[in-house]
Amino acid sequence: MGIMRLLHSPLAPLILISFGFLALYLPSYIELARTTWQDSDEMHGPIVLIVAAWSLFQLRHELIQSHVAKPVWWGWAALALGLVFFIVGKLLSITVMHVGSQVIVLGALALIIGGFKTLRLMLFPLVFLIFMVPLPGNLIDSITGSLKEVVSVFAEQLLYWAGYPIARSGVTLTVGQYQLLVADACSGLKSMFSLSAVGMLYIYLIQHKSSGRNILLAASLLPIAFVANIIRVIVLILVTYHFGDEAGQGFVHDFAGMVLFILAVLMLVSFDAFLGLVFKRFLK
Amino acid sequence: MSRTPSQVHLNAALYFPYFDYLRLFLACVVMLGHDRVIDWGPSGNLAVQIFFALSGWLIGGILMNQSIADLPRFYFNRAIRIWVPYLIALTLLVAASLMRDPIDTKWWEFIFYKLTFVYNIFGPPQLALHLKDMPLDGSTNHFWSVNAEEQFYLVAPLLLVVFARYGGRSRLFWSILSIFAVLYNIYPAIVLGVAAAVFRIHHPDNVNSALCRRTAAAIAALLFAALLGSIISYDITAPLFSIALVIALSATGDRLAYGELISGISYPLYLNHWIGVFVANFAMAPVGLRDSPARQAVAIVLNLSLAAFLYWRFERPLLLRRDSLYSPARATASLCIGYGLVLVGLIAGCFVYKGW
Repeated sequence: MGIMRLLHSPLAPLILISFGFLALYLPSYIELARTTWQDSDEMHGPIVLIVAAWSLFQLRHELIQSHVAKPVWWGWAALALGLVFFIVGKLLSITVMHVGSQVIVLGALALIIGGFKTLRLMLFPLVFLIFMVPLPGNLIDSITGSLKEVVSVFAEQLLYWAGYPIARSGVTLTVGQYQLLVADACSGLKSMFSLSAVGMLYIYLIQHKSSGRNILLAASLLPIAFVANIIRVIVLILVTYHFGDEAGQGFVHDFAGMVLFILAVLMLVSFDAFLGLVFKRFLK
Repeated sequence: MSRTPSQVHLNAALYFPYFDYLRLFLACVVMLGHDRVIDWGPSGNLAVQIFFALSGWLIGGILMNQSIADLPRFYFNRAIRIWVPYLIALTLLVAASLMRDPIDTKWWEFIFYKLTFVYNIFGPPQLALHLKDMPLDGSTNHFWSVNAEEQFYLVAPLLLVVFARYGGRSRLFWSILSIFAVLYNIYPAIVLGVAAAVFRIHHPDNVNSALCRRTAAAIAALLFAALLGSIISYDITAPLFSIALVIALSATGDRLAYGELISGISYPLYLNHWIGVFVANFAMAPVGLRDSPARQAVAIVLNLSLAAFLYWRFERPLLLRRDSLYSPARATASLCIGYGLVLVGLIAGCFVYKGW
């Protein structure tokens, strides 16, 4: 009779709503697992989903307590909007629309069942789920070009100041006898997205009481990801210059991606420690 | 406040005013779907599923409070409410068909199924092969759902009243039955409707709460989106959506404005909506308007008018006199006729129908 008891518990509405939500989005997750998540740049997707689900599960007791007597009508409007996005996205196979709609739908359900209090409680999983939405192709194309250019300029200038024989023509760098092309993947756009997700998770897990510190940490995510990517490109140029073309394009090239990730996380933790000192000394 | 006919047949202690509007809305969806005004394929079937869930919820709720001694009265009420409009519709069908169709053995077979409330079992499987042999080319195929409901009225009292002591009213039994009904697509919306009613009786504070209705409304919205996006199996989603919608609209209260008429015309509208289309076609085809929106609009007006007339002229007076018409002998007779017709239909159908 365990199921019966569960159905009569205060958890029942949450369980039933979760089933409804899964009925809508499970096929989308399966589709993502078969397609988008196979791409190494989108492998953070399932992790984001699991973390969001886990944090919602952690909130279950607070969510039960937060039922409101009167419905928030904005919730129904948001639900309608989210479902329209979902249906249009599904019918026209626009992944960003039907996967993205889950953030609106989930937020709307929070408003309908528990009002603004519940919405605030669910803020982290809701924001975090945004990182699961694959970036639209045309957005990637439009940002990647200029980002590559900026990365190339920074790498060239820094190595030039360090005394290396480097020259640049667009996104092509010539260092010594080698010519290197800063490819789309080197723009760091997708790694910025992934690192932002990791950074958000870090902020959520650390749970600093100071919202100022949290905001500064969140604001530092993109610059840190950007700097980490420039360091990665510089390392690859140096490896190519000192150890040859094969070394730069082989294992080290792939390994640099992992180093970038670790480096960025270390930079974030260091910046957080620095903020801790600043807040302790000046903002007591 | 005086009691109106539909209130008498429902449980007077609990009245669900939004169901009045829901019924008319569903009957209109079926009418508009059949006339291709609504071009979404599953619209008609989905409306029928919601009708089923509604019946399960209401009849299940009524039967949960009844004893074996009350059953003849229950059957008598059902007979007055269901049979009379159905027999009027069947008579109109036969009259129109006699003027137009060749009468052969197949024609008699289909009329027989409809008369004995077993058309849902033996009729629809023959649509592909014998559409042209059916009265009015199968225009009243939608009677299958009334036949299914009639069978439900015969089976549900056995489970909920006669076998009440042996688990017929238990939540576990109806939960298991619901899972089987959904998985094997055996009238799942009706079974889910009864299961929800059983839970409502056992836990009135939970199921009647505003939170429960709000939750059900949100789930209904999610499932409707799933249906529109054709994401998961229709056979599973449709009954779940139907019961969620019924629970969402199950707020109790007094009858709302025009509730009696609105609720009253839904059943004759559902049964007879082919007539408006036929008349409009007959009148407007000679001037080249057969497939026009104008013809569709005329058909809608005709259907609504006819349904209102049939309800006000025939059904309402009968429902108002139902208490005075009642006698134990008539109730027993309606019980015997109900079971007898379906039994005869089933036995004869098993011999005649070759599609097993």
